[in-house]
Amino acid sequence: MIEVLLIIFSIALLSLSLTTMVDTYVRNLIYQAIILFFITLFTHEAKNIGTVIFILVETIIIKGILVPYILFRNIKENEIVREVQPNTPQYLSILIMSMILIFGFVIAFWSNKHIKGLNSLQFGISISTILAGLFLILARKQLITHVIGYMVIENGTFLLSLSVIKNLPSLVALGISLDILMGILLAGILINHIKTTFDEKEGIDSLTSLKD
Amino acid sequence: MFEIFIIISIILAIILLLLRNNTIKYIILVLFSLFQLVFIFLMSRSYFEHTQFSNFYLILDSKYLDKFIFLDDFSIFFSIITSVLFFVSSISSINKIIFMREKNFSLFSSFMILFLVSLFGVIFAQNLIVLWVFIEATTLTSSILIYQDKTKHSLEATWKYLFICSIGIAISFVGIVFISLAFNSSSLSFIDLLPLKDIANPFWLELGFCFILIGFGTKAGLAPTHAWLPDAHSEAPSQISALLSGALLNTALLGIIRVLNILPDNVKGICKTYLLLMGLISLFVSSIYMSRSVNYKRLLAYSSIENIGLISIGLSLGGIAEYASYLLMISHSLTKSSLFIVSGVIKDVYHTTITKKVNNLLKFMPFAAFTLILGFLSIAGFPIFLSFFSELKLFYFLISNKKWLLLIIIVFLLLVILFALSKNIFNIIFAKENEYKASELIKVKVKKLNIVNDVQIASAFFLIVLTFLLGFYFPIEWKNFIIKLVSSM
Repeated sequence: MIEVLLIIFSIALLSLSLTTMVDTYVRNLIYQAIILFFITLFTHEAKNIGTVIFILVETIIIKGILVPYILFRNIKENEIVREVQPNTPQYLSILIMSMILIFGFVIAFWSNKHIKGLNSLQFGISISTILAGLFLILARKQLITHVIGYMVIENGTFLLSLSVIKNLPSLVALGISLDILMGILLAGILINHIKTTFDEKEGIDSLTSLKD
Repeated sequence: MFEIFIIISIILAIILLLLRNNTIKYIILVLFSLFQLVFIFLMSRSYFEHTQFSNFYLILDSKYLDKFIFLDDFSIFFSIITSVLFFVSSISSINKIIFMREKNFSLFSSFMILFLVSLFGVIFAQNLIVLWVFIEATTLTSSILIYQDKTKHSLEATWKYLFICSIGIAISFVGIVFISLAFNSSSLSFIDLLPLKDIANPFWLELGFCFILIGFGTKAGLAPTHAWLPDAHSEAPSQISALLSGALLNTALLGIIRVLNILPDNVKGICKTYLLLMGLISLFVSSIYMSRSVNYKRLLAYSSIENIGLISIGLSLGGIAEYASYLLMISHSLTKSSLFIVSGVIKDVYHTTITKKVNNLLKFMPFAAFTLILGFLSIAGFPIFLSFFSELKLFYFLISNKKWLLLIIIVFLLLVILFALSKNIFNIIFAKENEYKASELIKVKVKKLNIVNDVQIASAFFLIVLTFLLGFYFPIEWKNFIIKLVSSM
């Protein structure tokens, strides 16, 4: 069951490279959060009602509702529709994303042989999720897309920690989620300010006033 | 004890958000800084009384929270530095009473307290993931502090700081996961991991350390991931630059030290080589940028990168060099904070951060010029200052171990940096005003800001005198304490 979910997750990653519409990225984040919820539910060892509620809060409420809500509001306020002039052409970004996924599968095969007691497919996919987030940041110019890329990286580290660290104390996991939420909130506020201060059509390229 | 401290600080932070009058908020902030100084003093005293038999001490006696927070030699060392710096920088934020609107000063003072709490969280964290959570929290709280001038530049600096550091810290989380994979243990607490270090998988340990070095190194300002540092330091209010440079960089370095501590000897060697490499790159990068810097706050920021580079070189070499780098940590924190506070005073009076436009400080503000000269002497490592002894010990180590190449590289880069620093700082202090003839205006300004400036410069002067006195007389108990830090590594 987890394998199927992981494959769907990797398809969601691939679809990140297909579009340049910003709200599609955010919708993609919601799908990722839902998949993460089910993966966490199936992998978690202790299955009482408390842990289920906690996982629900961690994945669905924070990653699936609050973060997309902040991002959607930001997109609406700043009237961002699509990614302007991506750094890489469309076909190239699809190609690179597929390469990243293939790399993830190679890691999965390799770890299956060499590391014991590990869900190797999950390990590989999580590594390629982190790389996909980094790629999104490098290849796109809008600041909001960078925040989405950061969120994808966080999903990747979440998946990675799920496959390796057993029995993470819930208080600590909650701390991680709250940190991420606050980070996204702050980034949203800053993007609003940047929009009014800078002419934020060029995205990251307008932020060059500080240099030596 | 510690939970009371956290509760008091959070309540105070909320009260400060609600209050109106700037003077009252300033008084509360100073009282809080005094309170935390006393608190750290009491806590370290009780630590030394309780730990004759073990080298750590659980702060709380609760079953659940003891898993997350503890005290050991490292936390004592770093918390004392942080708490002294916080005390001085909250006193020196007196100029914000005049310059800031009430709403902004509320945010400023309340987040200063929260920033201190998150710094203490990193320092006292007993668990690798708890440490990660608090390092991310320091990024969040301090990014609000950096965006206080509400200018275009400060906005850009804040964005870069928040984003680059968040990515770096996310990368370091991957490193933590790899380290957990190597140990294959359910708990990630340092006490639990230490006995397991010889059966851990060396490949994953090395890979994990690399990720952590890059991640926490971003936060510590090690090149080549230092891009946020000059921007954030130059655009933040000067008290915040002082805190960032003196407290935050050290604290991020503590994360790297903690991970180095739990590595077995066969992995430690290669990991220390990576640290050495990053330190050398930091020295190199800062020497290049300092020699062409036109902005005095950026110059000081690059000097922080240089010092962190030197500290990590010392940490990676071990032995006396490591002892030297702990001394340098103390001296750099105190000196750089005082230099940043003085630079804030200069910025308030001259209204610019361009080095060429600031002339003849000796005539307008002799006390500030005197403090600046002392700070320069201390950062350059002149005799009797603490930094002199620490650099001397580093060179002694390099010579006695016959690492000639490393010695030549470090001395050459340090000379370049010294040249750049002295050129800029002497220009500020002595040069006659050429293009920028606003001396009458500056005189009026100095007169108007008299008390505020005097308080700020006095607090900076206090820090410099502290480094001077420590260089003059370093207590033997402290020396033994630092030697204990080195040998426990």
